[in-house]
Amino acid sequence: MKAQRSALLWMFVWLSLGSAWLSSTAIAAAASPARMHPVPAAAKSTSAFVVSADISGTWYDPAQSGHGFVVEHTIIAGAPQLLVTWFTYLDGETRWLFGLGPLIGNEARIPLSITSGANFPPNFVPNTATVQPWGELVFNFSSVTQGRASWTSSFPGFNNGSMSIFRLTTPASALESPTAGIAGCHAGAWYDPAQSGHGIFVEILGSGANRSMLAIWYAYLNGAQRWMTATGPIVGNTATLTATITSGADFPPAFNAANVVRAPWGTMSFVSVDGNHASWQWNSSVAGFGSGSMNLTRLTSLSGRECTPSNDAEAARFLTQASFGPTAASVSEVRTLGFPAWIAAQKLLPTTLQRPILEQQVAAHVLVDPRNAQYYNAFRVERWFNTAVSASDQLRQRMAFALSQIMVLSDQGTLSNNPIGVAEYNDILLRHAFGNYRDLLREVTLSPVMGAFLTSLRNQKTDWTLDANNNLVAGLIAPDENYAREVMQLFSVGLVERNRDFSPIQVGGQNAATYTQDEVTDTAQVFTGWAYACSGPATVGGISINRNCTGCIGSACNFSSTLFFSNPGRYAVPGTVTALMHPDAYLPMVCYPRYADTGRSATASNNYAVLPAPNDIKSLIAGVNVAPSSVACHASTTGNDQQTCLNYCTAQIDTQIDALFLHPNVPPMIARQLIQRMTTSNPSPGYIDRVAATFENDGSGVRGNLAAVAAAVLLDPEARATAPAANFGKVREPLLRLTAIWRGFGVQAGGGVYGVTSPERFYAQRPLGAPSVFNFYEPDYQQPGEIADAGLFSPELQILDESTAITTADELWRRVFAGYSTSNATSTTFSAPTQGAYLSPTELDALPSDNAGLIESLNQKLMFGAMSSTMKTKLTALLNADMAAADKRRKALDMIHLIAISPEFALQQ
Amino acid sequence: MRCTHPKHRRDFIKQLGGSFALGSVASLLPQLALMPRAVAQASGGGYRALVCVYLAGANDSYNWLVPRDSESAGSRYDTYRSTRGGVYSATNTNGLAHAFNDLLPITPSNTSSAYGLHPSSTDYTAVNGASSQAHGGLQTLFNQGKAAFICNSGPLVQPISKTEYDNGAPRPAQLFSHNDQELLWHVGMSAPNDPLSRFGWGGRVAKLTAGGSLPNGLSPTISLAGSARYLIGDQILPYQLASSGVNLIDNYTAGITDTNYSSARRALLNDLLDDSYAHPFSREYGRVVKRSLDVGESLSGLLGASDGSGDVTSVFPAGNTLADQLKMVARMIKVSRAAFSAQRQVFYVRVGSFDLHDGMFVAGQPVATSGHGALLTTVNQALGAFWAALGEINARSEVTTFTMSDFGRTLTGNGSGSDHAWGGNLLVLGDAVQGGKLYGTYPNLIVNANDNTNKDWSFSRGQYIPTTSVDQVAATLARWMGVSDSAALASIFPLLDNFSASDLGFMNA
Repeated sequence: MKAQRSALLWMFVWLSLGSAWLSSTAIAAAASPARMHPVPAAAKSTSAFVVSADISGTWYDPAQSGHGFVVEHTIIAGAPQLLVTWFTYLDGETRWLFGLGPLIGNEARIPLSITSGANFPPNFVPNTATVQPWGELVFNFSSVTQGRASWTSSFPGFNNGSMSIFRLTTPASALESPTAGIAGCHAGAWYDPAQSGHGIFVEILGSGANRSMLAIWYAYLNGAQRWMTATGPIVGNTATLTATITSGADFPPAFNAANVVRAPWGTMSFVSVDGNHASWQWNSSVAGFGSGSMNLTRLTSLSGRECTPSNDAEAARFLTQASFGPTAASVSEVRTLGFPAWIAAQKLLPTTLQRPILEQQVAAHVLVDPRNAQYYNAFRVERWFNTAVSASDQLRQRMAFALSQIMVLSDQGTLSNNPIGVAEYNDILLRHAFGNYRDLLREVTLSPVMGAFLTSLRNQKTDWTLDANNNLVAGLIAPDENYAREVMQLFSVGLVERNRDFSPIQVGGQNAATYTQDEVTDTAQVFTGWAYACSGPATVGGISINRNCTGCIGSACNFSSTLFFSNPGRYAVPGTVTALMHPDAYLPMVCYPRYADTGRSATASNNYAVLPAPNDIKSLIAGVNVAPSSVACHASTTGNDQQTCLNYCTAQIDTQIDALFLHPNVPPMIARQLIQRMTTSNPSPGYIDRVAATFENDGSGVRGNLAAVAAAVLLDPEARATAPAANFGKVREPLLRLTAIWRGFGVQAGGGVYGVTSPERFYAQRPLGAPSVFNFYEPDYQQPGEIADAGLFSPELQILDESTAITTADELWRRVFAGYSTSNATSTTFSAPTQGAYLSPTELDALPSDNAGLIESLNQKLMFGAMSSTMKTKLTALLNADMAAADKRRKALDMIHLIAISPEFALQQ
Repeated sequence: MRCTHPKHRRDFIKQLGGSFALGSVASLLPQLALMPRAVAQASGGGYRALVCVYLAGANDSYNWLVPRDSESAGSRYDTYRSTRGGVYSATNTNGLAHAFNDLLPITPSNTSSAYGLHPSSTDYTAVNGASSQAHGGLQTLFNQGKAAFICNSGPLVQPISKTEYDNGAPRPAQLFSHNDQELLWHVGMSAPNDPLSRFGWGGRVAKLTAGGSLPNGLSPTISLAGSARYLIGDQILPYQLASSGVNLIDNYTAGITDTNYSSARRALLNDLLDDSYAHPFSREYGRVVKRSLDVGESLSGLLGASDGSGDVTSVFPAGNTLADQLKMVARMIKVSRAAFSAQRQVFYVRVGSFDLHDGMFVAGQPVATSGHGALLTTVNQALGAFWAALGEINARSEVTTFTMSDFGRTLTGNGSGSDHAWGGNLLVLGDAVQGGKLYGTYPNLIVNANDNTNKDWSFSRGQYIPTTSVDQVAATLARWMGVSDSAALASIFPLLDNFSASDLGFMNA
């Protein structure tokens, strides 16, 4: 931080920024396809727009194409500032004006300077440029895409004025590691320290194969300012740029776009060495410039797009968002690798699954001491904590936890006797956490555990039979609509049509519904005919569990009424049915076509005729239809028709999944909720839009790439900005409070167990144990009072109340003090618990001995350095005074708990 | 036209736009600020409370209150039985109807036809540890005139026939969706974009009748079941406690000198909670924890008084989470009246798992106590014990208990349960209730009903369009609580004018 600041100050004292403004046409082609239109008026927010890190980019007035601004959001001494360079003209010659000013709310007032006197390299001589005050530029932004610029200047030839400004380019997020090539984090200003006074602004645009670089070189020629713009593709570590130089225009209001003369300048190239070093070459055909090269060093970064965390606190903050809490080791790893490479490394780690181990543990237990199934729920929750706290694939585990709060399944209720199935469901989320959302949605849909939870297991079609008048009439039994409704409302598209930035699309002043009740009814018909597979006897954890599949073979099994209604067995002894069950109970459901809605009647006497319209067709969301089966599917279907029926089942599920997957609502719905679970309850429309765009296309043309989406959530400038916007952040989820404390202090599993088996009693949160499919809290929950009045969402506050505030505090006390005795005021003895987790005494003893140092260390470990000086002072004062006689362990434990229940720790910002 | 009034008001609020966040709603809705809280006193004083029993997940209430005229063909019961796919049995596992003789007969004094209650609605003996006590069930309470049902009620913007529905007449948003419809029951006035909808109707009633908090800081709205929009009012935040009572923080006891610096740490905790913070989430967390500590310590003393004055002796059944919550409601009523002469309170309790897409009945198990019956047994037994406790504390005429639920359910089944629908039946209980009667219009229970004369409208699976709105139910209860002035009622139920009756008549004056 300090280094960066001094570099910046230095740059301004002397700065002979030189660059040239963009020819907007060249940039428009290179720019990412971000939406240029303003946020729709329908966007629901009563908060005024506040500028955040995502303001960085190039800006211009389309009516005055040919001059404009490079805007860089940067943090200096913890406060957000805008570094602005205006690339413009005066009397037909290029001019660049630069300055740095503080950002307050949506406004920045920037004193600008102008330079003159130097020459183009190799004839550039530092200190030959003179810097003079030019005047003041004021930016007022109304959104991340538009605002207004006004200026006052008494510098000769210039004047006062104003104009509307719109975003021209959006720099890419720092999604990749800078070691492998040119990355999003290479954006910023670059220069040769031996030639300070001119340099290059760089932006990385687009993604994947469409990645390109925009560079603007601010320089001099024969004592006068010059700027050149260049764009071109990026391949590996090299950007090959085609440069343009312009002239002919004047300063506004005399600026006339028609007067801009654009001339080819030549070529430039940027070759990255690492995140802070590159080489630069040029070859110009314009008189006076020539060719040459120089070594570049980074001068500025765009805040939120830095290549690496600049200190442990930034790494710890990132890990609070991306894992179950920072540890010394993970902080060090992130410092070494940088954010993108850490994410990339996480993706390569093997998946720590839960069901296989749980299954073995239950199997071992039932042979010794068989208990009823519910008993083993504690085994599952124990396994979850063990994985969350100790697995190395932290990001995958955290993603799965986030997904478990979107595609909710709960062991409270129907599944209370099914811990192994619930664990397998969690494994589905884990396996697909870096996979594709479509595959995830499909496997969730076909999970019999989900089928049991939302009652799509053994869902049956309506039977159509002939009445006395030989008319086909529907039976009274209709397909269960439970899963059909929730998969649309909660797991995918949501209730109302949305823009990519999540703002609702309104028709006639009303939100437009995504689907109708009739579409729910028809969707329920798609989810018919699915029940447990039958794979024959199995051995689980060395225990044989029978499964009688009636001797059927191949597709004939799928026409067996017995198998449709059959339940996979469990290991049982007289009086006791355990949780150990046949794998068919959690493996994907299979179709039994005779119970599936195939658009045909159930009556042999009319040859299972296709139903009269409109009942023959299933009309799904977004106008997708499923036509009736070409063959009749019933108890007596034989031969090839059996497979045709099975194919029909599969095809209609795939049609349904695709109808949801391809719906334009899914990217913003999933993006917003993953953001809420990981970084902030109130993402800006721009943040949602950027993540949703990644969902739509990961840069390689793939839709639904969840690994790319996770990276986009975590690496977005809004998430990474070290001085986040005022309302950025979320209330820490209760379970994440516990895991952060545990991981922060080297938790040990006493007796091999963590020992938290009913967390919901204290925290109102239990892994895969929400009260209903609506999770512990809802994404749109607004705590009444100040938060609702400000139009803010605060999901986690839905489970904070006068009761849970206390139960949480008390439970955290038990966990923090597990093993430590407080019976003596001055010494804290430790006896390792035999059945439960405890904070490592070694870690506690290694903490600093001075009180202020101790508090600062706890601040770094638990609050990524964000503790206010007021709070530090107060905690230190308590240690200095009332607790002066206590030993270090006591001081540490008492302070850990006070921090854990403090208003500052409650917030993850 | 009176019904244009709410629209103008919304336009007015829309114009105020940005400034809305700056003040309370009262500052923007002059009529709210003008409503004196003296309305409560004007109505005669004395303690009154509403207790909302929320049946989460959507109670299948057409199996709770059922026509029971006769079994003969064409009878109302026969229609019910037929629409629901016949009586559930080992040989008809798809059927959702109760057997005629399983239904417990009731004879509403204002209907020509007989009805029956779900077989769970019996008298019973509550057992809890070594204690036991006989309680009346809902059948008895109804027949004694203590309880009434309001039929086919649900969220409505305005009365709407099936034809009007098909033609796109205004209707609540997101019908059939659990969380959205639950919200409309909490809020009333099916207008989620109205600023008033930030407040529940219980909170709005409390605002007009109770004023602020009690001297110990206890809010006039109290939840035993976590956050509930129903209880939020303008500058009224519900107090939330567990049915086990107030939980005091351990290890932070003020004034205690122990070996772990409790008193000093408590002082620092208070200090941290009182600090000002830049982020609204930190501020709100501090407020909740502070309130929890302050009110909790006051209440704990009252509820746990050594003379037993904070307890009730009526026996509540063990293992019944709803009974546990209602017992604490009775205790809170008792101490609030005794210690602070509380005038008006609004309570919220909740019991879940009613979303029976599956498992309405359980093979081989008694219908009264399994599946849906197990849930209604919980309700029946909890309400029976609560009624006894209200008698013990002399509050039967001062406390009115009622149910709400997300929506009714499809009359036709899905093979083992029922799906989401709209209108349903709800219960009202208390000495102030004109009991033993049915209010509203009980539907004919057929599919695709479209009978404008009898206001009998349903969709293809027997999803009934409600004929009594949430607002009408709420306004009737609000009036009893003391919001008697019609302008005051209109200020908290802006859509009330759209319906013919603002008082359904089920409450005594």
